[in-house]
Amino acid sequence: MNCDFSSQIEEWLIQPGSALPAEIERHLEGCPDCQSLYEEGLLLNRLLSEPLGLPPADLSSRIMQAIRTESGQERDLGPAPPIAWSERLAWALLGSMLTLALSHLDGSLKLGEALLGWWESWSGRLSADLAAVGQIGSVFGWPSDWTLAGLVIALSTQMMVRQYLRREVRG
Amino acid sequence: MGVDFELLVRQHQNRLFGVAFRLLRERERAADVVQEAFLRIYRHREAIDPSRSFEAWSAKIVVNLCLNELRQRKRWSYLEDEVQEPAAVDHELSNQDLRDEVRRGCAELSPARQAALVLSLMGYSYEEIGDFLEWSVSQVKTELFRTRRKLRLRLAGQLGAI
Repeated sequence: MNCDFSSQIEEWLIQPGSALPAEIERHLEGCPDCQSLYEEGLLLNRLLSEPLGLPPADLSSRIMQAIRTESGQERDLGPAPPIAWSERLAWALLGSMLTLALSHLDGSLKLGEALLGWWESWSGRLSADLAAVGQIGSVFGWPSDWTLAGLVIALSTQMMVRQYLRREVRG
Repeated sequence: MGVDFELLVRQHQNRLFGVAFRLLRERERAADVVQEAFLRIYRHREAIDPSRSFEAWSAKIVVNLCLNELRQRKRWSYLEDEVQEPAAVDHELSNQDLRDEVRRGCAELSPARQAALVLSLMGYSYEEIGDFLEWSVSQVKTELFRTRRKLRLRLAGQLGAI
């Protein structure tokens, strides 16, 4: 088709939102080629514009539910929930027991001078034991503050044992 | 949340469903795509820019999701007989026959051309379609002209065969 109007008609048919320009309308009356182009184009638009129908009635609630689930998951990744006192105590005891166990690993369990001698060198080993327990705690995801509290308990216990041994063994 | 999502969903779900439905032609899949689009919008809610059109941004997300789906379908379509060839034309063509013919024509188009066609009829501008499909405006015009001519000729052939 060589008519000058054909591209204008095609362009209008692509986005037929506005009214057909009067100039094109007048042209269509006298140009059978453009008339058929126009009619076929309108038919094509009608066939392409399938009836839409409404979305499923529950679509908005489905979307909001999915968003709530998503925001719930985000909250789960936020700050840890508070830990109960009983649980804190359990972690502290575990930390203290582990510290004591570690500090006895290569030491003699005999009471008396040997133990006291071991205690004398103990202070140098304590920091290594504390670091070891801290590392173990971090691997298993223990609450670090309460594991450290356990270490303090262990340290206090050992200090008391040390005082007791000094008194008992050396008089 | 900062943004009233419930309001956003209520305001935009029908329009976005319309885009998805026209592209996918399956009601449930269209609803799934709209749900996924809103989830993505929620995940990137910080990117919501009041100075930019939410309508265009959200439509772009839906169009991209639909294009992915259409590309997947096209990849597997050789295994299916989704588009049936018509029986011999021995009766008056109904609107449904013509619609099927146009559908068969559309199924042969690339997903992006299908999207351009549908979006143009939904009133999206050349600029918006270009933005959605990452085409230049002149490419949008050229593709739409070519695509429509191809479909129109197919339709004219069908009408002439009666």
